[in-house]
Amino acid sequence: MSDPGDQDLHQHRAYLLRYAILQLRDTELAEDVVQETLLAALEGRAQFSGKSSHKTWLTGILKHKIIDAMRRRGREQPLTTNADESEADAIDAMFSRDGHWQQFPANWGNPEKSLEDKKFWIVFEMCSQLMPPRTARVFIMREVMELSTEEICKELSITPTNLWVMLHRARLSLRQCLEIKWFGNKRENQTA
Amino acid sequence: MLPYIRGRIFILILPFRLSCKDASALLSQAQERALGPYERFRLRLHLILCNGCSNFLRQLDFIRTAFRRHRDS
Repeated sequence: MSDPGDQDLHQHRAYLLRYAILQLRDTELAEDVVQETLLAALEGRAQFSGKSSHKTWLTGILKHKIIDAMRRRGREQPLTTNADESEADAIDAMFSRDGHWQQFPANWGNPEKSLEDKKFWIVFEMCSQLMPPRTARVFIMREVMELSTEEICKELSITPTNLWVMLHRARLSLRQCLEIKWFGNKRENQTA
Repeated sequence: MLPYIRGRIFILILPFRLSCKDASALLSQAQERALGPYERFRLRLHLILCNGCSNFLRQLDFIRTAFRRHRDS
């Protein structure tokens, strides 16, 4: 594959921006990070090995720029410890005092079918937005960037327990939202 | 005779039983780390008895799949 030309880089800009906004939750910061990425790509395109696609290569650069931006932002807005309490409260609210589900998780049947449905993705994106920004940041580092517990804890200076509580909270709110807004209404997915 | 034995075994396994709140937390953590053998034992016992948490487990896997699909499309 040849070096990416200016047209190639520009073409991928929209995708890179979407990816960065999803991760950073800050449009302005995302625009800056994408600019840095494209600049780095322009300067480094002679080094492009051709082994991956342009998109994959650019995304790789972008991921590093995003981590840098998160690190800088982390120093400016350190995660406060009392935030843990609100996460724990949010989790507690999902269960009764004796530890049972307030909203018993239903059988979603074959949920993978929904991945082919455009309407599902609209609901999915809406449910993803419900997380508080701090929780979302952590969730995306884990589920989208696929960083390990150690990597995330190191980047954000939190403990594994802090991390797991946040991820659990995120998952509980997501599954509840998806069940209410999508799977709960799908009669064909409900089994006894 | 049988209900007597069953009742006694039930009392024996009580200390191993997890609440749904604890089970769901373990299931979530299992997405990030390997669970120890005691944790797995307690979890498996709970999942046999609890459809809600079994459903939750499948939902966790689906959520992970969905985010990766969303990222890669």
